[in-house]
Amino acid sequence: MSIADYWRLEAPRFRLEATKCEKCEKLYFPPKVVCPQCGNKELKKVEISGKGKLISFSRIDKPADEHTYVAPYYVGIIELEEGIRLSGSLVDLGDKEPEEGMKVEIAFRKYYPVGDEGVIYYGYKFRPLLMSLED
Amino acid sequence: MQTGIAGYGVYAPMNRITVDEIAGVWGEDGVSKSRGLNVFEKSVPDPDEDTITISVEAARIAMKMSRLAREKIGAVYVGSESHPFAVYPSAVHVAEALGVTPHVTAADLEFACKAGTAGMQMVFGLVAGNIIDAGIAIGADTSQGRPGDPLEYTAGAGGAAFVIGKDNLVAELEGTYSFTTDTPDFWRREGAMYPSHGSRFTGAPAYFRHVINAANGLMEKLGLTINDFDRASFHQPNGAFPLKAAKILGLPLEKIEDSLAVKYIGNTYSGASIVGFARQLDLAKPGERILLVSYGSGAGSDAFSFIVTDAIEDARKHGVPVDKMISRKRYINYATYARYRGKIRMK
Ligand SMILES: [Zn+2]
Repeated sequence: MSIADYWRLEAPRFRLEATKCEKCEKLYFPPKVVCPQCGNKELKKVEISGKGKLISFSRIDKPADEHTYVAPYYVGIIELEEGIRLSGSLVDLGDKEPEEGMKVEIAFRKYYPVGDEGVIYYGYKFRPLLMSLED
Repeated sequence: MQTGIAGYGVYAPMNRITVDEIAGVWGEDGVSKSRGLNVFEKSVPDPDEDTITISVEAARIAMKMSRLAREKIGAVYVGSESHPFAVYPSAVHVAEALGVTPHVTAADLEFACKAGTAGMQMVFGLVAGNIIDAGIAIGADTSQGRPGDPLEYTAGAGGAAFVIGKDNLVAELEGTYSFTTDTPDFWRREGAMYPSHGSRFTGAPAYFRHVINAANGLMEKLGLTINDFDRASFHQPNGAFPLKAAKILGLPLEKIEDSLAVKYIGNTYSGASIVGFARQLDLAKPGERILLVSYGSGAGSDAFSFIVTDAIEDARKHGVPVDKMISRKRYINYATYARYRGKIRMK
């Protein structure tokens, strides 16, 4: 990932910014500039809840070099309350295994540091529900 | 119009290592270490957690509790002695994650363990001066002690964030006062991995002198006595110092005991006094007066007096209790701790 790519993806990665076509009521994440259904170019920026449930997962024992610092870890497919599906690492499991159907929410974490002197990439991962006592 | 706190949030990583486990590695007696420090375990960040991630998590909780629109936020300050970058602010990461950019001022602050309260004073000033509607001040750290150093028993990770403004207040600011001198009790040179300290020099001329003088200065300024306070939180480098400071000030120990998160998550440095203050806010009744006194080596203390409002009971439902952060945990051994904290040099 280049710094330019990282910077362009910051809003979705940092705060789950999506876009919505108000003509077809369709939500896009990652965000789109043009609605592929109706061609609408005035999509509205919206933020999605970050809460959802785990659909499936797998354990990563031998990741790419830049992720070895957190290995082993789990990656899951999450279905958010808004119906969007996305993948992300699972954190704060304690010593438990993940379970299909478990409720999760976004956590803000490091993705990886680029070498010893490069930038550090940050973004969302998912953890068991912590924030939401009410609402 | 009154200024104060509209929302607060605390975050602590879920890994814990006990003082007993650390003591065992160095051939020390864990039980007597724990008793002397009044600290039983400390939090350890996951390898993908740092001051920026902790700050974002705490600030998200504080924003949610405040129910303020993000457009109201005009300042973001992050106080820490463990900013991940020497150049590239933690505060811009937090502001972007909260979605409060670009019409916002932001900066990283550093003053050992009191950079968080320094940020609170700055936001209070901007709000009281009608320069911004509201702002966020955060104190967070993932500080390290050199292996085998006494600091290793207590250096924890965590932080607290405060949304400060004039609307939806859960606690009103009565006043603030600071006491600052040049006192070389603790330092870390640029590029050094671990801090150095003046050992026994850290007590009387450093911590106690500043904390006591700041508390007394605040009371004098506001025309209050120690008996006017229902609760207090002081900087907590361990669980013993704040109790001793309370004794010197004539504050009954039960008024400070609830603040001692340090016993369970360790010394969170820039987060320490304000995590304790947040726990007092979790437990306080409307109308209660809370004394907050930070301490940062080098050295200085910021003292504050707050009065809890009726709105706190409803607002708490929108936050996350400090005890929930303290009680979610997973124990790790020294080997895992050493790996997570980069104490094993691979090259
Ligand atoms: Zn459309």
